[in-house]
Amino acid sequence: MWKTNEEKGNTSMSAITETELESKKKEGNINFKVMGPSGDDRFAWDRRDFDQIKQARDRFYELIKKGYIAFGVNTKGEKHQKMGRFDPDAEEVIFVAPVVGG
Amino acid sequence: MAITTMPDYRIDNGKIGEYIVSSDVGTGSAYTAITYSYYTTASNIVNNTVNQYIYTDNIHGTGGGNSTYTYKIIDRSVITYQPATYYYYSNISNISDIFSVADKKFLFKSKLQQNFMDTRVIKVPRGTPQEEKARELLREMVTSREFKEYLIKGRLTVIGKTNLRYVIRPGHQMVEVFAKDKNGKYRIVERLCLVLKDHNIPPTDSVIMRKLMIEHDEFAFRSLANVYKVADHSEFDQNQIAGLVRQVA
Repeated sequence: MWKTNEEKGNTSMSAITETELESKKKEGNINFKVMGPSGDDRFAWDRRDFDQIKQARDRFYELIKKGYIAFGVNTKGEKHQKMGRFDPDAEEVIFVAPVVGG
Repeated sequence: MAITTMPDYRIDNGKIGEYIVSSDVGTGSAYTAITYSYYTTASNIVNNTVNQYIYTDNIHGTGGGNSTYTYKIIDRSVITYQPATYYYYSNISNISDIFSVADKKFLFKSKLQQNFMDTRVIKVPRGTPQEEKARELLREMVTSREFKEYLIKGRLTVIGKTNLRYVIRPGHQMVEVFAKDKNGKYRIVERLCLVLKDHNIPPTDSVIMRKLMIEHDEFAFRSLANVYKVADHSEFDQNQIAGLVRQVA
């Protein structure tokens, strides 16, 4: 049975620690592409900026909580792997809007 | 505002590369300019021709400045350009330097090819700006061949980790699942229905959602979707069907 990360109980804001976040700061901008009625809304944030990383993390879990499913390009270069937790190293994250069986 | 439809340009003989066309009206000088707003998107490129619908406005004034736009010919089937809508103050003969005009013979041949295409398929019409935005996202995620297939035939084929083939169509249309039968030919085995909760989201976003889920979380996709069995599983290659049953269970 499909369960969201939150249902599994691992999407709390403490899923990634501040220390982990600090250690994962790297150069470059990351894009969040969020599906919505206006096409995809894009949010860019700088992973060199700790405040922006925190904001991005908050945004990530906020969307997951709303039922969005995140797919990111990971550091191994694998395209659009499903993301259960926030990863500041992901090159790009696409948030798929909530789905339902028709 | 006058609306001009330009001739169809052949893009199959365009030189692969990036072309930058610019003009300089000279700041402070008086000028008469024609503003062209091009609506050339990947979605109106079919059969190696590109239609340029141009809205023109005659503008008289002073001022001017530089204006530059870029054409990128990626693989002779898809053109992208930046920015999405641009203006330039010069004549449009530059385009002819890049593309040749499609003659009657070429257009006839293209039309003939189009008529031979699968008549059951739905051609994806040009969409709203939101839909165009969604298509741009899809364009980034698939090969140019797949994208062209999607625009022309209105469908995208995705292969899951179980080697089942999923044919995805935009909006709320069902996903068709194909598996190899005992003769090794692909046949439809079931239809799946999984849609976006928000009905206002552009139809192509449904395609993106299904593609991502099938490729990276096929199990979740199948678990969430309503499954409509079309054929008896015993008629199919049992190795593939075993994968399918295991996923459903």
